[in-house]
Amino acid sequence: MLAHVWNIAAFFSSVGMGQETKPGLQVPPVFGAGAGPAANFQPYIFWAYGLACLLLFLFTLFTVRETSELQRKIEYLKERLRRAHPEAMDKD
Amino acid sequence: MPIQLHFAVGWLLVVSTLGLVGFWVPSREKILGESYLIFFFHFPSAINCLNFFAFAGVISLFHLARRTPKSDLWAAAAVEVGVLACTVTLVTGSLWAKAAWGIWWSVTDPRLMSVAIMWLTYLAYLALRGTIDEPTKRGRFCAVFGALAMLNVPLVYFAIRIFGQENHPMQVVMSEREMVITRWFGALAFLVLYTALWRMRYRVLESRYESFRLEEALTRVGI
Repeated sequence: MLAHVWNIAAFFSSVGMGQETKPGLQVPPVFGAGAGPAANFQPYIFWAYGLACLLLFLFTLFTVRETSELQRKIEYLKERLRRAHPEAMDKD
Repeated sequence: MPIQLHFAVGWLLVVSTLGLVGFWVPSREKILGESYLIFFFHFPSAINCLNFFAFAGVISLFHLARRTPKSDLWAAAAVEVGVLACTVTLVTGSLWAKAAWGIWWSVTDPRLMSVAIMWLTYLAYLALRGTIDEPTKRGRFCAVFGALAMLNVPLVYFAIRIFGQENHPMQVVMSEREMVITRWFGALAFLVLYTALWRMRYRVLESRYESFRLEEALTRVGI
């Protein structure tokens, strides 16, 4: 299976842009394999949208938290530098 | 546009996409049934992860030519947002695969495997950034890595044409007008949200850079 899909001959024969893959090189798609009259997709849809929103929310939260922590650290470092070396900070 | 407003508009557009998915597009597709609804979050993240990795590659090339600290920070921020988008793509894609094909993952599917390799490559980029403290050296190393890693983008896009199709199709053709509009509205919504996050991450990296400079200055004056 691997040798068929990751075939170097397939690479060279299908690398041209706008050219469709030769039918002989394709493995038939199994779209709809999980579908059936009684299939219930709602849990998958719920988890897909829920996890995507959760990831975006956590990334945002992490970024906002990191921004405020870094701002505090910069203020603290500037203050220390001002006390130790007032002339250098005045130039800034 | 202020970052806060940009970010609020991004979220508003993403919530609007959810509204379109919930109340406007047909709830079933003739082959995939309801499971096709996952597409409206999967596709926007996938297309934008490729966009952000391409931005990172182009900015890395610019950094190699000009060596400005800002270009290094913009490239790194683009990679961080690209990794987030790629993670969303993998999570939603895996759930959709289970619903539509009955499997979570296929190790022989060229599109799936090329995206996984791209994701790992950019995680390695972030790991590399974490190992080098000195900003100039870090910028140079990461710019070379970022420029080379950009090769993943066309490889992922053309993976099916190059290696053949297994499960994942080259493109999903939408038959109805509502589906097409929601698909591209979602792509735009995620682009706006991810660019807002890009600006936010840039601000974090800029602050880290400033804090490094201040610490260096304190060391120089002997504190």
